[in-house]
Amino acid sequence: MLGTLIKHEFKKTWIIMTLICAVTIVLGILGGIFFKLTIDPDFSSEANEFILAFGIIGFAMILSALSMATTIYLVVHYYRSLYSSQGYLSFTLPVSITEVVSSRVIIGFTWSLLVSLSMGLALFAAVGIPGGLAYVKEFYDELISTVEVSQVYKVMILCVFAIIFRSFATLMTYFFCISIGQLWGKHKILGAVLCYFATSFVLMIFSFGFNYRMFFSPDAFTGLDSFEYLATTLVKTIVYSVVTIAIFYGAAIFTSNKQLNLD
Amino acid sequence: MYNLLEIQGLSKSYGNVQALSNINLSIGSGHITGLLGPNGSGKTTLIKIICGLLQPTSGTVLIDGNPVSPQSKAIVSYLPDTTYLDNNMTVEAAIAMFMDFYKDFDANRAYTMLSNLNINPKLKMKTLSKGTKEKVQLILVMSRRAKLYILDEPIAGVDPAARDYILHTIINNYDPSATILISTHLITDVEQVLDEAIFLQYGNVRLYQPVEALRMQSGKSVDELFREVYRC
Repeated sequence: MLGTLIKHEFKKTWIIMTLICAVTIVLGILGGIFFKLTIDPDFSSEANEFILAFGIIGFAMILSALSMATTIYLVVHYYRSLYSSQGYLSFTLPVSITEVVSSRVIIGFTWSLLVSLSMGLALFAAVGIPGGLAYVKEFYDELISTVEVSQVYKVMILCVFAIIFRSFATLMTYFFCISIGQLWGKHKILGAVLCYFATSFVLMIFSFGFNYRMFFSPDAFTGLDSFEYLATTLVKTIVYSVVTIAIFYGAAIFTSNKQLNLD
Repeated sequence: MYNLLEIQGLSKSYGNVQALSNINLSIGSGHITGLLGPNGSGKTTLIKIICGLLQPTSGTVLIDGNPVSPQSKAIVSYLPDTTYLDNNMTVEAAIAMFMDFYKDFDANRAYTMLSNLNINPKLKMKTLSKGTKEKVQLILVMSRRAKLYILDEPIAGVDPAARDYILHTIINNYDPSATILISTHLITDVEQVLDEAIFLQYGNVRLYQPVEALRMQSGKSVDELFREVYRC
């Protein structure tokens, strides 16, 4: 039944999420065309540089806004479909509560991944259309002249995984807080917000514990291979994110199974 | 006698407030049972626990021998007292969803009822009036061939003509071997269809008897008896 749940969740969310992905990619293409026109040496002027700077800032801001819109939409959908009146249908379907909650988490992660992919494509278009890929290639050649190719690839792959898992962990944190918030019968949203503050505080302590050496003994990093250090940090980020996801997913499932409270 | 719904020692409290207190009920098959009581008597809480939307503080609920679980939910058709369909969903999408999840769902019956009421299945829920939304939900719920129908205030908030249609739909679309549990405080409208009545008060079962026996013993209609029992 999990497959059927996911199918219906996809049907409910695909219009808005596909729109966000499409807008992101179109924005990348338009941004690329805009950058190509503004950095044209024939039209180089101070005004042009000013417009370019604003264009880059605007582009980054719109991408951030789209990313934020994705998170808000997925979090609101999670809340509405489970803990508002729609939950009366979701939780009376002949499926386990674990499957109901998991379907929302899986759809959330899938869309989050697709939006990240769209962001990547948008950046690729924004850099590639004005001819920026040549500079990227130049930077890459310079990099591999000093570092082993395998190390560069390793860091790149780790970087991609770290970004993906980090965004999943952030989303899962919101989902977990909403699942805890529903325990407050009449003030579910307030409960979720308070839970988020408390969770963030605890996570900050753990994060600090993970990186305490950076704050108290920065000398310990002297002489370290910077690429190796970066790779280690990315691995730590991935492990931290996976553990966070696992704990919050388990807690959201446990809470919904043991303390479902649809007042 | 075989009991479709068996509730034992069921209690639910919210902090210091006791919503249900040691409820014991055995409801057999083939009855239309009224769950009657004033606001705050615990009707909706009891229904939500049976449907798995709330966890009891203590006690057990067995539906056709199963505790509240996907197995019990497969045989319970629940109509809540609020709109539970996504507003962006079309009526036909809701029907498709019910078909996917409930093996006992009869899509033809649903489309016939929609046609009788001139409801366009292509319309989105958000374009429908409150009364029409309630009718759509009732159609979905009554298009299942469930063993237990649980209807929470199905006639509250609709006009008298719609009430008649709803009651007519309920009576004409359930399998006589199934049981219907109707929660309401509009007793006059439902009295004619009830076989049994459960009176809830302050989270306790005040009375549980066949309607005919109630009338015989008290010499009053269920509505009159309700007014007497719950006089403020």
